[in-house]
Amino acid sequence: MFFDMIRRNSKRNRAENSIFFGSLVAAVVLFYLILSLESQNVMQFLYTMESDAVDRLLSLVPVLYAFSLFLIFFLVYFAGKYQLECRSREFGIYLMLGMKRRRLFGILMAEDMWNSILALLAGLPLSVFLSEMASLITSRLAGLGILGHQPSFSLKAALWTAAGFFGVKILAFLILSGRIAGQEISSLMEEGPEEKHRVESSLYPSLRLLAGLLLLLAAYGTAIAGAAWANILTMALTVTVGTGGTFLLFSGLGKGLESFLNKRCKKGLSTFTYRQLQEHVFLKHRSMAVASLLILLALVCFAYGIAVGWVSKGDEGHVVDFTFTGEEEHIRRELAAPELNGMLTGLSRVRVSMLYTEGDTQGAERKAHTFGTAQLTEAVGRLKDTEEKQKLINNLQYFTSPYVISLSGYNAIQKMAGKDTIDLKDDETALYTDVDFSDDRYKEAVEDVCRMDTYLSIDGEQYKVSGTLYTDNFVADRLITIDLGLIVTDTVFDRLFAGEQTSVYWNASVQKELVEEKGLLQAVMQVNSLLKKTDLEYETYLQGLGRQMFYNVASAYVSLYLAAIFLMIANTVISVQYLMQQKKSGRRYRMLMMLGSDSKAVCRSSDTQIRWYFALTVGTAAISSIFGIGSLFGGILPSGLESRAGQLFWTALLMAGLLGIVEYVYITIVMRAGRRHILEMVHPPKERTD
Amino acid sequence: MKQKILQVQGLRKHFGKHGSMTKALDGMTFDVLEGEFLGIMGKSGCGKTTLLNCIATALKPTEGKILLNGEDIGGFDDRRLAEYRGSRIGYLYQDFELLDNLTGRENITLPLAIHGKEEGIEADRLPELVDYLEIREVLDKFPSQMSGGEKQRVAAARALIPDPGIVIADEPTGALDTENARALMQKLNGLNREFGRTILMVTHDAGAASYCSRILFMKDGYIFHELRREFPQESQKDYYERILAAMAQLGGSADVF
Repeated sequence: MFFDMIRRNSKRNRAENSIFFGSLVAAVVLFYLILSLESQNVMQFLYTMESDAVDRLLSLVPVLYAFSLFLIFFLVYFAGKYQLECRSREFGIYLMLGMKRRRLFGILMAEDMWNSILALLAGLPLSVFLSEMASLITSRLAGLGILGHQPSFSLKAALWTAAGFFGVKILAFLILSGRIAGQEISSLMEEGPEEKHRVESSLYPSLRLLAGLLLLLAAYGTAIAGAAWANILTMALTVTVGTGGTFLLFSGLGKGLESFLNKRCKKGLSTFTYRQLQEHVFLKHRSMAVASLLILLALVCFAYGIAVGWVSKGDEGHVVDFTFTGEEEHIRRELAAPELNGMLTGLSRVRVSMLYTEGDTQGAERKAHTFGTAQLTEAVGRLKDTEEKQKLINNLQYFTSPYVISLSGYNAIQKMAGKDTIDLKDDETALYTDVDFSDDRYKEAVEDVCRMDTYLSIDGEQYKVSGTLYTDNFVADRLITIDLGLIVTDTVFDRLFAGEQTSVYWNASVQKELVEEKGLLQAVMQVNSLLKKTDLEYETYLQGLGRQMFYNVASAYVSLYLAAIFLMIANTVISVQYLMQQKKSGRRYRMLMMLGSDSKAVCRSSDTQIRWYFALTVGTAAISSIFGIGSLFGGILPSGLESRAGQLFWTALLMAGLLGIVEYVYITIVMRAGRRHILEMVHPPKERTD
Repeated sequence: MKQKILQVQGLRKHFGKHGSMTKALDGMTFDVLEGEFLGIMGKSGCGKTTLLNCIATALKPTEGKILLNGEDIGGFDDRRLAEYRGSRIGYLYQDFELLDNLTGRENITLPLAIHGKEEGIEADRLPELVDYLEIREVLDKFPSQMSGGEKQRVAAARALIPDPGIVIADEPTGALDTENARALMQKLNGLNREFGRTILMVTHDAGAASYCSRILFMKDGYIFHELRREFPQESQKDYYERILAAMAQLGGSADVF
């Protein structure tokens, strides 16, 4: 009999709280996704290229997992609390009928565990499916199809998921059942505690509303002005002021609704609708504030993470696919091997050497040169005062022994990139900077200087600086990176470094036809696998690509994961709370029907309440997120992306908008659940015969 | 001759199936005349609530008709049912059923808002009702700030504001103390006598019933006795004695009524 009861009660709990059950399934999915990260194809692929970075990311997994457990605990605790409150009368009746508290505890525990098992059984296959899909989509987007997709199931991840999930559920259950056990039967039996409308003088809530708004404005101000990033204390202060402001705002919001209510038309159920909403806000302002802050975190994480990943995806001036070092003859011989024959084209060399100047101890055994940048420095001085100018002045202080690049080698790169070759005379030089060291604004500043007809002097001779700055990488990845270098004609190069050993980089690209046929990544990988069999020393574009992919994948994974957890918890808490509160007001809805309202009007009222309830919570978060995201872009933007802050900001807002769509779908689901509850409640009362 | 406001004709309501059928109403027939204050008394389980639920359209009768001003409410579609519920009958509940997140004023005007009645009605009728029921001080208070008597008078104002043809009162004094119960009954009596309101009241309380002009006694789903107050010669006290006597004579006792 009890087994049947447990099964029936569990089923009823799932049906009545489908949103909560759905969130439990989602929690299982999220746990598995983060725990199985290391066994996912994309990560395994990235591991082959960026093992250190991947290791660092994976070492974050336990922290993320523990953090998620902590958050999910609160979700389970609060949702469980509302559920048990709604059933307290039922528990009172069991006890009145003589059921021992121990048995009641056992039944509730069994119900909870049964639902947990079902959530796990639904969640695990779904999470395996989703992780496979995520892997497949990422592979497809990144062109990793050549790897061949291997289905992956991580038993370790599944076990940890189950352990964490049950641990959280049991802990929450023990605390909640402790509360039930401590209550008198009479208090359990009290009719669904329809919470009393709190009556307060109008002054305090208005003051709280005003104080909340002022604190939020102060937090927005310090966030957007960048003052929050000055030190940890100002940051803590901003966060505290913002959080406090949000709590105060919600605690006074009910009063704000009052004046709104007085101005509204009073036709139909509008007065009832806004009074209901006002009551929800009055009674649940703390949860609304917490949910709003969680949604804010979700919006900021998601928008910032994805935007940075997205915007920094750009090609890092990639021109060549492979760079070899070593003897020319050896390289040519290996590349002419039958398996490789024809796959690589345009083998060309770039010669690079450092121009050692007097006093530079590194070049003690080499010929010392003189290098003068006085005119260049003077030209920089003529620039407008900007951050870039300061950076340039700073960089010029270390521009004493520059790298010099041979023109013929760099022109070969220009050709490969499909650009015009550089035309330099022997008394001319062009500046080069690696794309890693320059963002758009820095590049513009250097070009402004170049256009000022300025000169550099080497060994007493003046070289006119070309008006163009060159940034195309002349090696495949990071074999050599140059902050500021000089391109000179081969004649000058030979003269400067006569009799000295210079660095020679041999570049080649994968044949166009092969790229067109297989896609760049697969073509490079295929050639790379063949080159691995040779004894050539080389680097490939794959390393840069792998690094880039890692940043994108890692930022997207972590930010999406956190955003999903925050959003899920916030939404579940407020929706479960709302629906439970709605249930407690069942009598009111029945009364409306008795007063002649029809079920459509009552459902419309419920929809409006839900829309407003969510709009107040999400709206506050959305407004705060504009300042939060803006502040993040002002404060902790990865180097190189400063100049793209505007683009990033709009991308981030677009991403936040995408979350808005998710939120809209969620609200629709809650509205549907609300309508279903209401229709169940307003059905004619059970037939009585007295 | 007075017009029949409500006619209950051969009303039956059966629950369950053949083997275990309960006949909650078993052929009830009675009329409520315009301006009448009709009381219904009976043991627990005699079918009083079922009768009120049928009149309030919360239950569908198995057989029989209920006519309001000559119209069969069983034939009403959803739109007319909704109009009937909040506007053509007013309902007064034992436990008031005020919406406790609405102020007194909002509770009272809720039926008007639901039925989209012009605000003119509110302006005309509200002050009159509020003054008569002495609830002006509580109009802007929430139910939790009102006494039981105030709550029931607010509920009465809500039942009366749409100017219904009949007010159905289900044990209206059941949750009130003696003093508040008497005050409420005096108000209802006044509404009936002075304003010609038609009232149908179910009660256990002989004191409350003594305000009625006619009382129907129910037993096992049908009417088995009727008492009429002899106006003007019979005093309320004498009528009350007669009700008590009828209750005792007909097998009633304090614990069954």
